Amino acid sequence: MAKKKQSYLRGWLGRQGSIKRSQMLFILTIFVPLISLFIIIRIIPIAATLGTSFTNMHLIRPVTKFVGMKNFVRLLEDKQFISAFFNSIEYVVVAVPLEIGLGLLFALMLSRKIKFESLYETLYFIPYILPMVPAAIVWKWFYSPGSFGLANYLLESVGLGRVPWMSNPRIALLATIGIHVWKNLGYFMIIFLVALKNVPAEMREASKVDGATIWQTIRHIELPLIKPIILYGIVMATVWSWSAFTEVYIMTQGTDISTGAEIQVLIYRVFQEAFVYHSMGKGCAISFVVFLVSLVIILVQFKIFRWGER
Amino acid sequence: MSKKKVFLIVMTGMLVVCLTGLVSVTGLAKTTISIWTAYPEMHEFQKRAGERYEKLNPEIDIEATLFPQRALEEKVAAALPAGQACDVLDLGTMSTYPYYVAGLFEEVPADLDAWLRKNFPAAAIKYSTIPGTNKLYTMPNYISLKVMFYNKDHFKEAGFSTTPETIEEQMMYAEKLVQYDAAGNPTRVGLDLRLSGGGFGTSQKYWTQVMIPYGTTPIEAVGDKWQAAYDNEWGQKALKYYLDAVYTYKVESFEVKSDAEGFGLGVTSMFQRESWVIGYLRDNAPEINYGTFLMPKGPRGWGTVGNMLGICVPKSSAHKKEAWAFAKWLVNDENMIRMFGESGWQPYRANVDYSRLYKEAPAIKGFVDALGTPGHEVIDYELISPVFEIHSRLAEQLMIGFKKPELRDPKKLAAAIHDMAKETNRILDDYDLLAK
Repeated sequence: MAKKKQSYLRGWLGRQGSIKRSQMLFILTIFVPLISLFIIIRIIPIAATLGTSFTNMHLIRPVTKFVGMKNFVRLLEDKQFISAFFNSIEYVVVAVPLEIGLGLLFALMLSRKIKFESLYETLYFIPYILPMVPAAIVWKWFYSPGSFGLANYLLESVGLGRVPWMSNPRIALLATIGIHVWKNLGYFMIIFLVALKNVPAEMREASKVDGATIWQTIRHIELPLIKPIILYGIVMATVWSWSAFTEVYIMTQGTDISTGAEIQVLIYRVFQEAFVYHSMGKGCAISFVVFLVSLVIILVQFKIFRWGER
Repeated sequence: MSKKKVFLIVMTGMLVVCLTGLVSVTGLAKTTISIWTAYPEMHEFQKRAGERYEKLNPEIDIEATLFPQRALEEKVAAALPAGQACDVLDLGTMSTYPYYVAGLFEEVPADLDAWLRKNFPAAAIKYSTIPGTNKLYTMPNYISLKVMFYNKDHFKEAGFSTTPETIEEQMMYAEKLVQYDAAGNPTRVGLDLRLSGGGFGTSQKYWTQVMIPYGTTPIEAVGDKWQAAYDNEWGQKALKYYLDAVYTYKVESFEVKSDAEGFGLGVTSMFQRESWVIGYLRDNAPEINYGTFLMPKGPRGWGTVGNMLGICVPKSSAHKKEAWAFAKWLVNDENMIRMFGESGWQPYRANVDYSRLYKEAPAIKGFVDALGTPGHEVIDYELISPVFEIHSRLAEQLMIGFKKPELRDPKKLAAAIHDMAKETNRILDDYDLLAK
């Protein structure tokens, strides 16, 4: 009898549920705000961006019309967009291996017992906690043209020639990627270091007893064990490189340094279209391309890692 | 609840209500007028002017804020449609006119309109007037007129006692003024052409430096519509002048500091800029012995770009009357002279005698004369909504073009110019302003 008195919640299809009303209320209380927030913060903006990309919406033009695929078709003819697209690809191709490779290398070195380990960790991590705008301004000065910048001054003082850091478009993009790598390297080093420190010491010792070299220990014990963290690092490094903006923006501003639109990346293009030219339709179309490509890159990365696991 | 507790709660409540009222009344006693500008020298002037205005009008509080140029444009784009902008906006007409079209700015009140027509030159009134009407949407304030600055010591050293009069002469002068170190690196440029920078500045300087002398312009009117005007032989010559300066004659370089900073450091012999540079050099490089001359003539034109910076009052301002009153006071005779002397920016007011400033800063006379020299045209931006976008996108394309020495090839040059013009026309078409 007592069991019958208990209130059971019926499922969506009217079946007898197995969750008590109080349990269901608890679940709803916990998840509804979270799901609502996710919908408000993530799903609705993505849907709104997609919707706007099919219009000619302009921030200071009152009438907005539906233009179908026009904004996307235009992107294919827009040399600035195409150049920004390939610059963003270059950003990912150069920055991600450097951040992950160097981050792992430094983490592996610091995970061994070395002197002043904490000092090195702090030094590597400092750039990550520095705000990007002042850091980029300092870099801008570092790359200043002629002998006015520290970079060329140092090169000349050791007898090397000057480098056109910001005036040669190829070098300018690589130099800007260098700022990005410098900024984020410490973060990846720290997460890899934490992961390596969680690898049980007994496993390392056992491999040593079995006569494994350091390289064999790294390759067959440490790296496989921190693989999920490496995947996380690669995904984050890809997302950050693909959506790089601040350092590019700072480098293209002002007249005292000769960068121009040739180092622009996709997010810079979004900013230009949406907030400089006020063309929200085109800006949203680029944003959607950024979103789709990010999704594809990350899905491919997951696939590769899962394939590797098999 | 005891009577004592009830009494205490009631008293606390009354105290809170009284204090809130007092704060509100105190707040209402002063009307705050906010003014935004993009120029540090102008901001300093406006701050000082605001303090003087507050003394004359104790019920007014002036709040002057400075934003970097591009940040101000972005701030206005976000704040104005949201009704969160300032009361008085100091910005160029090319940036403000689209907002007027979108219904975000007040028209100039009738009494002020009449006063402005009496006290400003016809050109200032023309570029403040809403096309097709007789109404003003902005109050003329100052002009960003461009002249050439030159380093007198460099000229003397190179044996020049006069300034160049034509663009050909200018290049010839630049060849003698440029200097290199033993390794062949340029240490001083003969002619700084402004090869980079944010926003539309690069295309503005390009328009002034080469388009006007070659008799071309970014856009031209065809009836009541518009089209790109530089997709022709003269537009190509204009771009070639820049490319020749960098790659053929090597009188300009990406590897030397440019603009006012480069001139102040003594690594630039000639460059084109506005009158604010006078204040900049006074404060940052007083040792530079410099002069100014009018933009050199070309085979098809002589003149400069003198874009007007006006004062607009947003419709969202809660204190429009007070804002216009402050704006009018800002352009009185005394303030115009102070503005020129303190900020270096050139006032647009007519019938004001600026001669008392010449002794301290002789270069000021060059700017005053530039406004009234017969045959020397002063051109401003067209009042059409996409003008900012047209010039900014042209600047983006030019900056890319300047880094391509291969564009000296006539076919490639023609193709590059055609691409730029195509984009200009595409923007006009988007706004239904393209002449078919």
